[in-house]
Amino acid sequence: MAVQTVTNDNGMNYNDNIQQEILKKYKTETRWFWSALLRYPIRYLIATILMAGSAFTSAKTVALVGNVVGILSYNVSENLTIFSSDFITTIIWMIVYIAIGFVGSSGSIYIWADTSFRFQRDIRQEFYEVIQQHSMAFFDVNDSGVVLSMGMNEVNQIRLAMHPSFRHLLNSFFTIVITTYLVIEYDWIIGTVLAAAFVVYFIIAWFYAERVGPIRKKLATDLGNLSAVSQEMFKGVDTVRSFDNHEKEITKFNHVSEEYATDMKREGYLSSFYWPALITIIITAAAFAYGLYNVIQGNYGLLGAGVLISILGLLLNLNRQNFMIPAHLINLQAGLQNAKRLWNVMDFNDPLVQPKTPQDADWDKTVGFDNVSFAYPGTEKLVLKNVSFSIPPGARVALIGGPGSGKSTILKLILRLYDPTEGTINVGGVSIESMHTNYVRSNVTMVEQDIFLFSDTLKANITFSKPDATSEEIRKAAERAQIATFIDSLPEGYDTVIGERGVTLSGGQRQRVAIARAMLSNPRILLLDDSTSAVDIKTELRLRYAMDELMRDRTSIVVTQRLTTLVAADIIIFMKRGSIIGIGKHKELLKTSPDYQFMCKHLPMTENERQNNDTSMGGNA
Amino acid sequence: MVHGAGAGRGPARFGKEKYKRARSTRVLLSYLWSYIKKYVWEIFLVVVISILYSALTVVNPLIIGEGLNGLDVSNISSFSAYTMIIREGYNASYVTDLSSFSVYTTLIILVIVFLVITAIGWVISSFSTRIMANMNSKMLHEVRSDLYTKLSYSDMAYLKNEQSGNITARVTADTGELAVGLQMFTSIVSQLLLIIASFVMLMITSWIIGLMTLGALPSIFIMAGGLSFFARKIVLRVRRAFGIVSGKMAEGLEGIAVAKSFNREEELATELRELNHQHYKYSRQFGMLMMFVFPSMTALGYGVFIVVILASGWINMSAFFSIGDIFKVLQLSQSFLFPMVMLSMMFPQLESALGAMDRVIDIFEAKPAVADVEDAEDLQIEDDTVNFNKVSFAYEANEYVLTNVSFSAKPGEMIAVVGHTGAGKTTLFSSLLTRFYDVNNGSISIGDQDIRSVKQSSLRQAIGLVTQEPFLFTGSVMENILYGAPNATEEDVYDISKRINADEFIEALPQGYDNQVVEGGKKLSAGQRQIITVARTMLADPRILVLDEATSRLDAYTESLVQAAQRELFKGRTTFVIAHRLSTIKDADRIVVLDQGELKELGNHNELMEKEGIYADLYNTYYVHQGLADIMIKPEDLGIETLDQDIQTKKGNAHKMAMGQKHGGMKGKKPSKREMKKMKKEKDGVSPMEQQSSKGLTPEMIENLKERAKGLNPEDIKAMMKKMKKLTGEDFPEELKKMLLQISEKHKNKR
Repeated sequence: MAVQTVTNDNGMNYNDNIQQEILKKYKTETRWFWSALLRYPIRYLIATILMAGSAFTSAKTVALVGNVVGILSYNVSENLTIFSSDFITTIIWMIVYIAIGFVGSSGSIYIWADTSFRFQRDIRQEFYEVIQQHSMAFFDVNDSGVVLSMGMNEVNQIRLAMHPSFRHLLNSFFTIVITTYLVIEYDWIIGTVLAAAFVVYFIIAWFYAERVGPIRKKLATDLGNLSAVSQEMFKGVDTVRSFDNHEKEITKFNHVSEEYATDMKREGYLSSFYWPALITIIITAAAFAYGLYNVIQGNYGLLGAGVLISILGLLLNLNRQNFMIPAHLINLQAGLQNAKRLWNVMDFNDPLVQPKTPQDADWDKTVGFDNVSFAYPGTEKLVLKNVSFSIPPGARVALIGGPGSGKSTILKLILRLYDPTEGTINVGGVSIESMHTNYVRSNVTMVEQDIFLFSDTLKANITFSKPDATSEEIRKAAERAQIATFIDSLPEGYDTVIGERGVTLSGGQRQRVAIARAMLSNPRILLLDDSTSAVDIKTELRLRYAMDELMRDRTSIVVTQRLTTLVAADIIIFMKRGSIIGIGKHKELLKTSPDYQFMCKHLPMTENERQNNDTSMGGNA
Repeated sequence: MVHGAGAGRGPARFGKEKYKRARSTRVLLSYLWSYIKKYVWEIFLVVVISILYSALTVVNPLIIGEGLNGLDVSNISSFSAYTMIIREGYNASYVTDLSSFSVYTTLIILVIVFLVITAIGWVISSFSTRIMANMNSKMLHEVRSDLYTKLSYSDMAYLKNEQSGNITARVTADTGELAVGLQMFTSIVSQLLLIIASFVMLMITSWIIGLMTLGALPSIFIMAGGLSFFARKIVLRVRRAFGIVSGKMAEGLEGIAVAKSFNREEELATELRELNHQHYKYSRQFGMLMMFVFPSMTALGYGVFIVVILASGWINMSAFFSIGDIFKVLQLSQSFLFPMVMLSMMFPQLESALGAMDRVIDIFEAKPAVADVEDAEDLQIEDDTVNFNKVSFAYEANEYVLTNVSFSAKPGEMIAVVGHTGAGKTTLFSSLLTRFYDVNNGSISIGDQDIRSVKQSSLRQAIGLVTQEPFLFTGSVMENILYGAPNATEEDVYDISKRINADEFIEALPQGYDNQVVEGGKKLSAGQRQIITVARTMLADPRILVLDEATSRLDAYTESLVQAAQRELFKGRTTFVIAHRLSTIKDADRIVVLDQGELKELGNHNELMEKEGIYADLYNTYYVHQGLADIMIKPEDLGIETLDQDIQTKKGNAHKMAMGQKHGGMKGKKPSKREMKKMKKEKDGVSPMEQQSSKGLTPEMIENLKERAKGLNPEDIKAMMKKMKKLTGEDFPEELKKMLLQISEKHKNKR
């Protein structure tokens, strides 16, 4: 994971509080969407000027067609020189206009496209950075697949709305205005009617697009559901098959697929009978009739028929816009909708707030829970109720309890992934709510139960916690984590890529890579969620050694089921339904806690140990 | 409007590389026909409409042209009309004379005809859009549904080797592309018709100009060719870059907790920015390519016009050429050239639609290896005896993971299965007994029925499986537990949860039984997930139960609770428990010991301990140590670790699948010799180490020896070593010998 500074045009750098900044800067989703124009005003301005210019020259070219034809007809009928100087001049003008139009529109398309791709890049980055800073409360309730699709596909949609759709619409607008102007020059009546008709046209078209917008949104959701249903089934195919529930899954899928089909049909129906098109058709016909009349009346003068050709050419040109305008209007609508969805996600009201004046703490002091109660954000049920305990520096703490007893929650609170609903957690008397999350996490490290490794090299994964680690440090950490010999045995050693595109590691190996990673970060407090038991003796032993190394010389809080860890612990905290039901050393709990006794009774031990336990329990009873 | 775009959720979909088709276009089209023939009337209608529409499109300029020529109606050529106008010096009265009745009538008729024809064009094209939308959406649904059904029942081997995201992409993205392709077919038909009609009218109006227009074709073809050549390359690059960005973002989101706990958000953001920027750069290249397309087309159109008008001047044809004809020629040449460009731009998309179809057909044509026989019966309900009769099985040809396994389990018996990783435990029970795969040799029968002669559905209703990896569906906890027992009531759910002691934690969830499971249960711990899966299976009330490390993810306390309940739960069911927990194993009626795919020992705990074989070894070295006993093995004695064999085999498999696909889909299952060699090589790279650990002394054995040495006299140890030498034919390592003797000395007093 080579970290390089990227030269970025607008010099965006990582920002600690990007959410606030963006919310403050753009305020609404609409403004965020249109911010493209504000981010790169000069580029868009140049593109727009070029566009207007090329719209003018192409309209002018169309108009000149009539002139050329008119002159030619006149020359022929008058038996004049066919290539009169008028004729040649007009042709040359036409060529000039064509050339200018070509350069202008190519240039405008390119600049517009390039700028919009920049915009796409920027908002994608913005979106990711804002989302990344949301606390875990956000990630608990949002499907990462959906968020990913927003960051990738929906950002693309927003860009599509800008380029090509908004560009096309703007171009159509210029074409219409310029055409109207040119037509007014020929005939102000047709011109004026045209102008009025197009105002009406745009209003109607916009309403039309607004009707399509929601269907588009629905289709996107439908497609998302479709993928989700399908993906889930293929992930859990063992389960589906073992319960012989294929029919049920297929019905589920068909239901979603049918819904998609219905909405797709609805969209298709809406795009047929696009009746704003009728307006332009009627206008063309009227202009045709009126123009013919005028030619016959001789109102258009010398080049009468030519003028009519010019007018008709311009009108037919406008008619062609009909094919493009609806689709682009819909895209623009869709883009706005997507921007709204993204904005809502970015505008997440985070329950976890960074302190205004962050404080530091002395980590060599006691860590204390003081009447801590906690409910996950958005829920009411307390998963921790009035939990109080204190951990002296350097202590080994073991947390045990059933699922849902709250033991993992305790770890998450110490890491300040969440703040307690009530009560405080403090380090040497300083509440961790008054510390910056980054500061807390640089002193506390957690090794999770479901190990997450990046599809990158082993080295990159280990140094994830300390990017500037020397190879000596890396080696040392790997050795202590009992993973060094394994890595050495791989042909590419530390440069072996793991994950989807590389080597698959077994569960135990992954765990030890994670331990090496945690080792390098050298935390003051170690949180270890180790509630699974290894299935294999070698795996089990390696892990045990690795963990012993990791826990050495620091305060550790371990969720565990290893009896050895329990026995060796300075403090065991036994949790049940969010409350502490037992606290103390192994021997003490054996005497005082019936639940603990029950557990030990059902866990495997050597005959020897069992007898020991039985006697101690018996002695107590 | 491209439906189906943006379907992929994972990065895999975006990283799709160039794909080579296995079937000819003709074959693909005939396959497509099987789907569209149902809609033969609709298609007929659409084609008729297309013909009508192109005719109308061509007729329109003709009418305007006639309108312009209509000035001739008064028997004065339009040009001489001008002449007169000019000569008379804009004599208005003359012009009024000119506007005789017939001129106006013609004019009005023409305008009305123009209006009507345009309106009709609008109406019928709208109808066509409707018919298409209706047909397209129905057909897309049909293809999707068929494909999904087919995939649901397809081979486990295929489903396990492909990432679920890739399979989903088949269902959503490929079918979507197919739909786009279909839409394009009709569009191609109408464009072609338009080209033909325009060209015919053009030739009728003026064959010379018609031929001149043809002169523009080479430049269009060159442009289209060049465009698609570069576009293909650049599009591929853009897609790949997009895939990489998507992958990075996916990882960032999935690993958010890790990033947060190590304060590494900034670096991840920087990395993403870098990739994002790369994607932008490729997109810009694409923009650079596309910038010329439309401007060039416009320029070309006018170029043709200039040539035409110059030529008509040159050959002085204009005398035959009325002003209306010039207008016609202009419009017709445009409606001839424009569809050409449209067509040439459609081909890349069409190509990708055909590619998608090819992949879809791959799936349709694959024959599942496991299928019900024609006269398959329901599984009888009287006898739950399970017989394994000389079962051999290989995932890969000739790489047997099980050989000759024979034993039978009596109805209601609880059988524990032990063995090292890779011994074949999961394969035998989770994959073969459930008939996810068929055995290669031998047979498995329940009662006296071979499971291959039984309907899969009745077999699976009889067997309950709790897998190692707990899997939950999106929905409430209640729905999840009800999953395998649709007829059960909520009361039953409460009851079963209570019995396995799951109710306590479920009630502790924020919404209790109504708590929603998100993304496979990411908010739940592995233990919570696992206990829900146990409840789910128990509620389905299977006659035969397979528990594959079903409690390995539970914490000590919960596991002890489940342990306490298990006897009652297993009552009356033939149960196979793959377990690493000593207490579970000791509870079993009999224990099956598997080692490297072979059944080595069978019997109850005491019998097997007496045998002093593999089980006794395992027991002494491992199971015992789940307790508090000290472990004597030092880290350095643990031996060399290798990549997990199972996983490697799977990878090889996936690799082969990918190769097979390139060479003609799933039909080409056998890899070529060269590939075999290559795979073999890859395997050989790993195997020496594997052999080392399986031959000679494993750490477990060493540990076992150490353990035993505590209770033996030095003389006994020497005798034992001799015996070992006899058995293995190898010298006993000198160091170990010393060590064992030392241990023996040390424990002398205690004896």
